[in-house]
Amino acid sequence: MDRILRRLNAAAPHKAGDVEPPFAVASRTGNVHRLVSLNRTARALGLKRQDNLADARARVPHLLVEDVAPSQDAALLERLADWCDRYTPLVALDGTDGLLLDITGCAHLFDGEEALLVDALSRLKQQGFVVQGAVADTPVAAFAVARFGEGRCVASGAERAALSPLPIEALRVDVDVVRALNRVGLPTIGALLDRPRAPLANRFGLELVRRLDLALGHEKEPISPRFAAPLVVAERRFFEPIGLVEDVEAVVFSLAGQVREALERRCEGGRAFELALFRVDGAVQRVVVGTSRPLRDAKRIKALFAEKLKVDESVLDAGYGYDLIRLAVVEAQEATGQQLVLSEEGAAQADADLSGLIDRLGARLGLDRITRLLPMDRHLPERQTEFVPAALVREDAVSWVGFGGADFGLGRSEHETSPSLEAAWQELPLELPLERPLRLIDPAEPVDAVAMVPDGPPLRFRWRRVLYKVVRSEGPERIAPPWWAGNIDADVSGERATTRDYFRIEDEDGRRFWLYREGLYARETTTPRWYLQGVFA
Amino acid sequence: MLIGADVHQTSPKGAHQRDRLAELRRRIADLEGRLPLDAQLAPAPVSAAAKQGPASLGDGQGIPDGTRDHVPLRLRLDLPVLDAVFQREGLRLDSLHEVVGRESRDCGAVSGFALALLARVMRARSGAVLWVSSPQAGRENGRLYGPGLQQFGIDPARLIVVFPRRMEELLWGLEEGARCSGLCAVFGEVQGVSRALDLTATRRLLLRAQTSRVPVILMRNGVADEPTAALTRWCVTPHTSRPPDLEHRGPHEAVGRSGWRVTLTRNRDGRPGNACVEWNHETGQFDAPARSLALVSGSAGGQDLAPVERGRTAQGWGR
Repeated sequence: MDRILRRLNAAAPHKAGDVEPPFAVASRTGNVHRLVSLNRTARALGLKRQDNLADARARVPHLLVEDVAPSQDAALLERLADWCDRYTPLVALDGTDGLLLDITGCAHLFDGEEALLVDALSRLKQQGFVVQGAVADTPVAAFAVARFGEGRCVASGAERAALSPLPIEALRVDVDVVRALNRVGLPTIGALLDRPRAPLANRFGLELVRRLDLALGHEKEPISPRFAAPLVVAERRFFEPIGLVEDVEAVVFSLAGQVREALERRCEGGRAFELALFRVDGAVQRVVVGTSRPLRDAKRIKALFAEKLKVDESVLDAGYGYDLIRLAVVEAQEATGQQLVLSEEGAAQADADLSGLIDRLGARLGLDRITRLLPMDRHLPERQTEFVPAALVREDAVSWVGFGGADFGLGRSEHETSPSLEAAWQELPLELPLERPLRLIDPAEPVDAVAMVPDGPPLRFRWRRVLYKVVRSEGPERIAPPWWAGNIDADVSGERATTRDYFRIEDEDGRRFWLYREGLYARETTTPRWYLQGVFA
Repeated sequence: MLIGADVHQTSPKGAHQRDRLAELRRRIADLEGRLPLDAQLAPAPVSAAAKQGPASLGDGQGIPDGTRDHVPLRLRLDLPVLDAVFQREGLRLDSLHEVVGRESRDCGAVSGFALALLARVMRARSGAVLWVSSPQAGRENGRLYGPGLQQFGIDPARLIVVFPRRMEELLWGLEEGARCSGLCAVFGEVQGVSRALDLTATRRLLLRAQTSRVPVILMRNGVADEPTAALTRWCVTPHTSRPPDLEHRGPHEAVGRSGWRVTLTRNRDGRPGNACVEWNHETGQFDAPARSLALVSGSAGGQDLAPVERGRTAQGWGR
């Protein structure tokens, strides 16, 4: 059974104070402006929701009106949801003006459900919100009691009694169904509960019966929280808010120690950590760091966050200070026994550790900017290698041994050749040329070239406004378009990819480039274009 | 060695004075970040080294190559003209080296020589290479190309390529890398003149490299004579290649081995000079282009390392 805390938040900005001017938020539907929400004064003056704005203005000339701003309301609700994270990790948005908290197993941390509800409501009221809330076993019952009832904490099994006096709307069924039920003289939920179910379902639809079942807990309805529940959480609350970066780091260190123990029990290491800083005024700041390898060393976790906080000064805007700091492991991976760092020597080793370096760089620059070069089994030269974030790469995947194969079988790695093979290579009288450039210009840049027709090498070409005269050249090396890939490799303009003839050329001064002509003359195109794609050493 | 022996044979007072003198000299050398001639000949007195405290610069200077942790301190380039310019044979590994090109369109040649140096370093040392590349460099010169690197003699699997957004991040990344003694080398790539990459920044890199003994190679393309604290600065320009065989001559000869004209404009570890070098990617070695073969005019003197004009570079002039 889920104990649900429901909180109703009138999303419009309300101001605290005894004598407020009448204030309303209006939205336009069709050609009519209608009031969406009102403050207490306005209600006391007899205005209601859904009133026409023109009528309301006529009745209350000094009414202050604001246009509705759905996106700002949504952002505000998100912020509140963030704030509610302090009670439970499972917080869901409920429509545009409500939040749903699954407090199963959390209530005892706050001295029971009643106390939790009071705490949450009073803190929110302090922040200036008009709030209603309820705790119940099911989301539907909590919704009904929070929005339509008075009872705040519905004891387990007391749903029937709590729901009975509430109007049918509280079940959140279709307006037409509510109207029909009212017409036949069934104004409250209690009236429905005593009726036989079959005729009800027959006449008003299955949905009504289902909602009843949901409300009473005969059927279960999962809530969809905004974030997945973290795997491991450690948090600390402060009586006095803290604000110094050093203090935050010290807290992170001690929390990381707790997290480490939990991770050790699970035989796991964290791959992504989230630090949530709950500010006194209700704002929540989140900092996420990823690691390249499962990690549970408290010192290194702290170092990663320190790095991150150093670079994002905006993140750590302490304001009046933080009253709750939470460290959560968002992503974990199996990690078997790691050696603990015991000595100075060990610490030095950790410094030399490569994955530590990648994590440090990643925390500051973003892990996606720390990459490895991976060989790709692709046909077109520019796709044969890719930069992949180092954190995503398994060490054994980055092997360039045997790369190339038939395409350019000459590419071989210095270390991998067996001695006999090496000897065989050395016996070859001719030296094999470099066939591929060191640097690839991607996308290839078009050049104006003068070349021999139909498939001769270029004689001179203009690249980046400079004219180059070709002195030496080699080629063509023909790379046909990948016919099996259909039009996938067609360029952006939608044209079909054509054959490329590659040339290695050298200019007068000794610069070496990799050019290709796109399209076979007179067969695929009448005016082949030239591109410069690479730079040789 | 001789001076060291001398010290021990003289009277205690004289020995003391000489010791002091040597220590002071060493300290000055530390401050200037260079290797004093006498210091490299004499083994550093233990007391002096201990008293220097945190000045990690002095740590490796008196120690013969290759004795510490079995990591070689110097890298022989296996080409006499290149090796001979240094005080002792080979390029110092625990230091910052710059490879620069004046025109940005020469990026192929500059990358070529820098990568050739890196390839030599990668053969001598194990571990991964941290490659930090400025965003402008990627746009201007193209990105690293794995198959080409592999043919050139560099295993792309050992590269960790970092793409910082800003110059400050690049420098920070290089420094972090230079701190990490598990790396094989740190390679920075910068396009154009940058205000952030000044004397202080290069000096910091140099100190980091000296502490961790990780060589840092900085490739700067499209710069003139920017101030630097690097131990050496190699200015690279392209050089026409030697055709692979003489029979195949015609209007369009084949392209030969990669070759460059390299000017060592700054060398605090020896003397400056210039040379024409070729890179043999098959063996992973530098070669001097043979004189008998078609060398284009201007490279005739390339064999002999002609000292370039004194003045700016006179500080590192060896005797």
